[in-house]
Amino acid sequence: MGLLTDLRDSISRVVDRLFSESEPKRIGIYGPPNAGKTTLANRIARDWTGDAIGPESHIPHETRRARRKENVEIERNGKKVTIDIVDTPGVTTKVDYKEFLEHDMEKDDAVRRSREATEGVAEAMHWLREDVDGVIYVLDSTKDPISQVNTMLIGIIESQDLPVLIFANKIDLEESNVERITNAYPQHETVELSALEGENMDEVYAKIAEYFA
Amino acid sequence: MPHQCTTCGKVFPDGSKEMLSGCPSCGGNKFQFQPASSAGGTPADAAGGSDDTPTQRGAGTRDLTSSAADAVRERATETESRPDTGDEEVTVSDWVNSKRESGASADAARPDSSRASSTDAPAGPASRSPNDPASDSPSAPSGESSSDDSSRGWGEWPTAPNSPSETEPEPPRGTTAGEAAGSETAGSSDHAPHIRARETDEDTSQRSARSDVVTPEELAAAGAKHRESTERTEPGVTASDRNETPDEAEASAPQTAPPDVDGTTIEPSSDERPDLDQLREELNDQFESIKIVNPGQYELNLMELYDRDEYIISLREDGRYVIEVPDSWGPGSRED
Repeated sequence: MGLLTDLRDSISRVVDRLFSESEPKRIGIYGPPNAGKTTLANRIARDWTGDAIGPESHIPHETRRARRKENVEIERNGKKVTIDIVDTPGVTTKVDYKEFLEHDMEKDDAVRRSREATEGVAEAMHWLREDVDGVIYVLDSTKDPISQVNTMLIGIIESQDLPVLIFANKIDLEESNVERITNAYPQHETVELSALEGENMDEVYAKIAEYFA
Repeated sequence: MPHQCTTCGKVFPDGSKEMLSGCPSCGGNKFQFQPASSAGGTPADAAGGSDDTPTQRGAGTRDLTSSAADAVRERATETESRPDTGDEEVTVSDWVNSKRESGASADAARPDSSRASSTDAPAGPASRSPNDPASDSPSAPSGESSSDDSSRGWGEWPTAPNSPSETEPEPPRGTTAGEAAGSETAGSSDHAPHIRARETDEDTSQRSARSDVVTPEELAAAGAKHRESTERTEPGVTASDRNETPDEAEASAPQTAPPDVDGTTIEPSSDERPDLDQLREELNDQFESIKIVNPGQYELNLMELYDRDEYIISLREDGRYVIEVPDSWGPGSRED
């Protein structure tokens, strides 16, 4: 019996090591539409691999399928982590094609975009359940962070015990208010940044290396 | 309205869970509502004089379509201005945890092969899962049949409009006879917090939807059982009541069966194509995770999307809709 227990323990140790060392962690970049998820994903991917992940746009729901960049090695302060970055479609409870019409889009295209965006949200939720080991939650710091979507998603993430970092993006904009985010989600570490301008990326990478190692 | 596979023409009863794993006959995942003119296949016809409940429902459903759409819009605009509250934070995680626990036990009770086998062939009682409606109903947990949006994780998503629902049953949530029965023993809601109510409210339908594909026999059995057990009609069940059995439906289906596999080129053979608004309403009633308000306008239930294994729906503008089955979700299929 003791032998069996020992054997089981040693097997689980080996398995643990396999997962912790050789298997890159899959980090999902989540958040509402237009928070800057793809801009951040591209910034990280470019900084560490030289490639981008996907097209960025000021029109919401530009990312309608989850995109992945594998084996991104991030090293900071002596800590090194290898992650797969998953850039996910913006999560929302409502998609309306009329929103896209304001961006000079034809109705047919707007309706199609709307449908794809809806499917994208479904996909993002599915990834959250099945396929991520950690989450970077991106918020636009110029907007009110307390919304149904944010509360619900962060609640789900917490319920899964996934490590999560909250990124307060767009600090280059005047209306940015990081404190609002810090106060809204005091239980999580908030890192401020501008993915577009590359502000405070040192801290971003240090936190990623620390949190997801 | 019954569903019809656009590939092989097989017909599925209203609220059928069979189709959620793809068409068992051909594996297709594109469906349409069976055209109303196909012989004897309409709910109203099938309901006939045998049972007056379905007839009432049939009429009521049509009434519902216009008023429901209005109500949806009204509610949507109402809730837009409503400030979000932070109190969901606690309940969301609690709910997920409790649901996942119950989900895990349901999974554990299910043989791994059950989904595959029951998808391939409608087997006899041997393939019955512990979670199927027929066997579930006697022991189903009781709970209030909550229509509180927020308690089901809906938030901004309006459920069935209030006014029609006073005379009409709730929208179908699958064949959950136990749910209706449970809702009548309201005593338990006194000590049960919202989370519990939510769990039981969701679980009977969710679990059965997730766990197994019901066979036609089970659908019929559940329907018959339910009709005996309660007068309060639960649409998912009565849906199967007021339809002919799938086998009969199949017999009448070939004349409407589209010849082509590619759904985009198929048109319903009937001239009387159902009104798109009506189709939308039917879909909304039967599936919960994505609500199609209008073409290009959707409301999403994030909790449902997160919780569900099976599918998403995309409604084509021609009245067809696509159900994604779990097999097509693999990480490999999503790589760019």
